[in-house]
Amino acid sequence: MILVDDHLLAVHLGDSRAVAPGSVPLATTCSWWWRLAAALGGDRGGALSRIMDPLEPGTEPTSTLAVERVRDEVTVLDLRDLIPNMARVAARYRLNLLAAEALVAADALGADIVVGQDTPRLREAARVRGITYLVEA
Amino acid sequence: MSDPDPWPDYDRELQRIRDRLDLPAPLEAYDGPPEGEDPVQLSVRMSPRLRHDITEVARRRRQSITSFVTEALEDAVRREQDPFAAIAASMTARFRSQLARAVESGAYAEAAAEVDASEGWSESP
Repeated sequence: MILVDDHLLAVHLGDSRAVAPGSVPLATTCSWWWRLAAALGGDRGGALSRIMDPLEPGTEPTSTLAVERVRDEVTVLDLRDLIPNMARVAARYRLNLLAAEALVAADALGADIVVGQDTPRLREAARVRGITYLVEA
Repeated sequence: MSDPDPWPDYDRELQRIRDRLDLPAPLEAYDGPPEGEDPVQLSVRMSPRLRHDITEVARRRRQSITSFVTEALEDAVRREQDPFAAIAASMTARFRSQLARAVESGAYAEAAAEVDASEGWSESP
């Protein structure tokens, strides 16, 4: 199993490239899922809003569907199970919410972490915990 | 005074999470003869209604029933093997091309950074 961040989710939702060969199951975290949802769904007036089509009245945005389908196709562990250990690793490795959740989720799932955006503290904590951490170019 | 060792509690909690996990069974890779071998037969029982509908759809698509059913099953298996194929199937081509451009141009990274900033998630030095 591999645990992917929202950047990789966005890359692969865009062009549907396979994240991993064969049928390796995918997981992500609640925080990365939320960042994908907020980045795609928010009307922030930035570069993303200029590229994505404005929503037509009376239609559900395709981005909402994409975000919903993540729930059906990608494993996401419940934060209630992860938070006690997230607190432990956050203090130990000075991790923020995203990195702490990713580390504990990967540990629990026995998953490799594959990200589109490098997070140095998560990379270092993963190294210490013996979790494979890859940045996909 | 040094920090207390957090790992016994961490490992105990980790085991508790793993005990409660109910993950789908992994798919075994195919290791039989290569593609192009003689086809094999797969017999399934189905409702007369479904058999009728399959026949009608295949006829409309100008396909044989064998060709249509094989194509449909290949598609279903591909979606199960590749989660992104399943998600992509529900996306419009336009949305996917816009998202691909957003990733390529850095617009997605910019939007994600805005989320980080608004949530206070940026890594402090």
